[in-house]
Formats: sequence, structure tokens, C-alpha cells
Amino acid sequence: VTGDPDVIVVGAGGCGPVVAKELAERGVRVLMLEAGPWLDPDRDFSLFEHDMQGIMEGRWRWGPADRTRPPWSRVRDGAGLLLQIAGVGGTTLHYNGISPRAFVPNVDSRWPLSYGELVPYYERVESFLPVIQVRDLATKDAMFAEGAERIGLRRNDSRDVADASWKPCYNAILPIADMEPGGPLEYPAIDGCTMCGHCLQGCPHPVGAPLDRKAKRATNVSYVPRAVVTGNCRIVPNAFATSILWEERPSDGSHHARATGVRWRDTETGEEHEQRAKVVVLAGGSIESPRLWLNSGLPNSNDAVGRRLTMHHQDFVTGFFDQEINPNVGQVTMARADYPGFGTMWSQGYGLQAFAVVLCGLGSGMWTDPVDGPWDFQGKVFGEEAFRRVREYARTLTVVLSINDESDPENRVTLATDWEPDEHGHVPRVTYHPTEETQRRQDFMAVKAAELLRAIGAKEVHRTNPESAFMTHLMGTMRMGTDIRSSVTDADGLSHEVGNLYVADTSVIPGVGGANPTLTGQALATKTADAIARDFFS
Amino acid sequence: LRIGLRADLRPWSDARAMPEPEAVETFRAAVEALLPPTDGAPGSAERSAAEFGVRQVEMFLPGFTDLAHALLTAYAMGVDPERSFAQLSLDERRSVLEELSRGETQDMREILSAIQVFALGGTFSEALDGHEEEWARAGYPGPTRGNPTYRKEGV
Repeated sequence: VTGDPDVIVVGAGGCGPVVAKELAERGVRVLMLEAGPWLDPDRDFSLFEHDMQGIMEGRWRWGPADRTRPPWSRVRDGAGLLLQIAGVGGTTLHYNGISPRAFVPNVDSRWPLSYGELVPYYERVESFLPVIQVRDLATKDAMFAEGAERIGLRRNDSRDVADASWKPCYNAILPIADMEPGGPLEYPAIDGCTMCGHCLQGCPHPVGAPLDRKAKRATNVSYVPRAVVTGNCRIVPNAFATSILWEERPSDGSHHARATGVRWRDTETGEEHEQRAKVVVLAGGSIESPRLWLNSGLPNSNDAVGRRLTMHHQDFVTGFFDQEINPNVGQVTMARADYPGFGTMWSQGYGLQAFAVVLCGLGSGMWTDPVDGPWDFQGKVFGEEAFRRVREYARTLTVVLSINDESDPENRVTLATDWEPDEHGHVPRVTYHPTEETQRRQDFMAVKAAELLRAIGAKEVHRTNPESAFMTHLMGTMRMGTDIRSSVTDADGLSHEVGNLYVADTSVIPGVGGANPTLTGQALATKTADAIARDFFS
Repeated sequence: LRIGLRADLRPWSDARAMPEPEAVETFRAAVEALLPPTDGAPGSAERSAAEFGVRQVEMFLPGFTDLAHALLTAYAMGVDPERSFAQLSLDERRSVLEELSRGETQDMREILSAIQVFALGGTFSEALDGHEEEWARAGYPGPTRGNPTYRKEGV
């Protein structure tokens, strides 16, 4: 790619590469900046839990590529773990590939576009990745499915969810490979998902497969390479955007400013760069997009930027069984149950480290405390009991709850102006406290999960009930809306105030649907790319 | 184009003050109580989970180890003014840690959470020697290239 870019996309995570690919294929010249490194799945994805997802020094931490250096800090108020990943692919490197559409009633009640208007964009992403309903289940998921039936949920195979139901997942994972016990597990002898059970640590499988045949369709193996092969997209990793360059403009409707480019900093050398472009797209996620906006001093006359941080408030309910289940086997999640208005729950596969932390370390209260629901113990455990319980790993099934968080304007991202700035400007302060309604929904879902586990013979049930909010699937801080007094962008992701500045990540999602939000963010990013092509490069 | 400040490009251990040795000892004493030798297998402290935990937690919140030391020392005074936290018995330490888990503020409760989470994170991951034996006890084989037999018969 030579010459100045037409469009700069800030962030090569779950959604930025969608915009890049859609525009580059139309001949628009795109520069995509990514704060983290650009890793090679075959070389770099060890699948070890600490090496890959250690939050302080794992390859996917929120920090510079050089892991001898500290991670980037955030100020937290009520927030516990904040799941952000620096690197080309972003959080799709880590995600379990679940790719549901938002719940129909959630979109139709609160979004600036109807569910029907969104469907064609969903279909384009589902077709490209592809998103496929799993045709078989691992043991953990078959047990979950049986439990869902026994507590009265009906199976609904439609992608469109409006009522409580369960289904084998629609995942952005290639079909299960045709494997023989003891046979080869390398490409091209086999093609597809090998059920290795480590989606959360990245997907290099099948070993030897080219990027377009890697099983889990994270953006680093799907949208990114497709953007690059056009010859119109240049990706700069280890490039942390520190400022959107902009200028005041005579009022054009509500638009009274215009972005002119981006300043970024090379995280390896400390060098700073500036680049101009006709259009700028923010795709850094629900913490960094508002942080960059505010650090740039961009107009925020309605004080909506950073407001209403929402997520899928998470909880974990674990059943102990007599028989082996082996939660390390299968796609990490292959069966799910949706309760529109409350949230989603699914069977969770994971490694021993994550299991131990969820079971013994994250919870509130102690196992010996009295319980207030259909579980036997809740919270933390330590002493010999902790080791003994972790060693039951192979005979456990954990259900993850992703609660539909109630939006609250006081849950937000602001600049921590009372803290020392880091090399990228003021650090973000993330304030999150679940509302009483969110906690009510969480309790409702925890009861359902416990009932499901009991229905399939769990001897004992544990609820984690995290001590501090487990912040995943962050949304809402740059929300789209028709009312310019309470939202940041329109339904195309175009800023209400800056005429050529778009937001294309899950921060535009104004109301929580089913977990996770990636597919919805990608569908909206497709719509944003169409709008940019139409309005600037037709 | 200009060259930015280099201070932030240093390794974390050069860039930040390390905790006092007594504070590391207190952290280790907590890990000994939280995850002790069990059923003939070594406890987490014997596998260097305390040193691992201090490294992680200092990246997370610089100064954490010294703060936890001060807090646990104060709590230990309530058990026996003559002994430090590290001099308490394992059961006495556990009762102090359990009291901390019921602390009034989330910040206090999170001190216990952080020690426990990072000690667990080291103990059960590949980060520390001895993990293969611990994985075998739990029936976790570690990463594999694939699982051709992914569903038990009859399920």
C-alpha cells in the first residue's frame, strides 16, 4: 500500500478488521492501527493458560508486546478483571467463537434500527466467517442439553431468539473434523475443528492448516487476511493511538467538527507518528474508544461519551458428578440456553487453571457460609479442601452465566485525571457497580443453572458469585441512538458531532442481547463500512 | 515524527520499587495457609507460588505486597500481639484470612482474593514446576492437538 490512506481504523480487534476488509475490497485504502502485536498462530499459540491468557504477562494481556514490561494500567472502581486483549484479533483471539444474534425484543425496543434491518448484515458476517450450528456435542455439552430439556426449555434451532429456549451453538468454528482415534491430527489429513478444548487460548488447529482453514474464525485468520490480500489495507501492530486529530468546522447539521487524522505511538521504540485521512474509525472497544475520544478533546456536548457501560455480568455455577465429563474436551462451548430479559447460560470447557480460580478464588464469601439458593456452597475455599476439590476437575461441569446487564448512566469510562498519565495519556477509570435489577437477573439465572445441574444428577453444586464484577463483553459507552441528546452515534456508527468520525466496535451497542456481542458488533461494523463507502467513496 | 520518553520502555522490575522482604515473607505465609500440602502432594508455597504471586500482583497493583503485609500484620495482632502473621499456626492464619474475606470494604476483601487467585493461577498452570504431577492428579492432560473421541458413550 503506498500513499496516504483514505481511512484509518483504530483497533484490529473483533470489529475493526470487518470495516477494513469491507472497504479494502471496494478499493478504499485503509490503514489499520493495532496497539498490540501481530502473532502467528502456528508459532506463538502454545495453548498454555498462563502463557497465553495470564492477565499480567500472558501474550494476550492488555499491554505491550514485550512481556518484560508492565501491562497498561486502568483505574478500577467496582470493576474486577477487565478483559481486554492487545493484539491483531483482539478479544476474538480468546473468545469461544459463540456467535449469536442479539435477542429480537432487545433490538426492537431500544435500538435506532429494527431487528429486521440488522438481519442482512448478520447474514453477511455469518456467511463470511462462517458461523455454523454445531452438529454434534462433546460430553459436557450433551449433558447441558439434557439438563436444559429436563428443566423444561424447548430446543429452538433458529438464529432468532425471542423466548426462553436452548440450542446447540452457532459458533464461528469450522465443522468438527473427521478424526480417527490414533489417527493424524494435522492438515491436510484432517480439516476442521479438532475438539482440542482450548479455544480460550487461541486456535492454531489443525496444525499446518493455512489461515483460512484454522478452525476458530477469529478475525486474525478471517477478516484480517482477507483485508490484506486486497493490497489496499496496511496493518501497523504495536501502534497505540494517542490522539484523534480534528478541527472545528462550520455547522453542517449537528456536525460541527471534522477528524483529520490520527497520532499514534510505537510501543516498541517510543516513536510518535501522525497520519492524515479522509475518514477515521474508532474500533478500540468500550474502554479505549471513549478514552481516546476524551484524551483527544473531541466534542462531547451531551456528556454521553463513556456513559452507560454495560456488559454480560458473569457468574459461574459448577456441578460435581460421579462420572467423568472432561471439561477440557470439545469446542469450549457447544450448547447454550437463552432467557431474553435475563441472559444466557452455557456449558463451559476450560483448563485446570481457570477452573481452580473460578471454583476457589473469585467468589464472594466462603464455602462454609450459609447459602441462599439451591447450591451447596458459594464463594471461596482454601486449605486442603481447595486442592481436593480442584482435583475433581475431570468430573465437573461448569455453567457460565452471562447476565443481561441493566444500563446505568453512572457505570462509565472516564479519564483518571487524578492519576499519573501513562505514555498514552490519561488512563481510563472504569466504574461499574451492578444495579439491583442486574443482581436480580443474576440470581434468577444462577437458580436455573443449579436446577439444570441437579436435573442431570449433580451430587453437589457450587456457585462462584464473583467478589467483584468480572468485566467481559463490554458494551454501550459510545452508544448509537436517534436522540442526539443521549447517544454518541447514529445507526451507521457516525458521530453526531464529528462528520467523518465513526465508531465500529461493541461500544455502539445500546442494549444488551444474548452473549456474546461479537457477531452483533461485526454486523454493525459491516453496516458502518457500507455507510462510509456510500457517503465518502461512491 | 519525534522520539517519546523512554522511561516506560524499561522492564517492570527495573521501573518499580520491589516489596520489602518481610512483606514477601508474609505473602508466602498466607499462601502456605491457603494452599497447604494435601494428601501427600506438595503445597503451593513449596512450588514457589508465593514468589510467582508477588510478581503477578506487583504488576497488577504496585505496592500491593507491602499493603497486604501491613493489613495482615494488623489482623495478626488481634490473635497474638507477640507474634507476626508468619509466626501464627496455619489454622490461625486461615482464621485471619477468613476474617479478611468478610472485611467491610471491597478493597479489603480483594486483598485476600488477589493472593488466592494468583497463588491458584501459578499452582495449576504451566508457570510453575510440578504442574504435570498436579494436572495428572486432576485428570487434566494439558493442551493437545485434538480429541477424536470427544463424547462418552451413552451421553
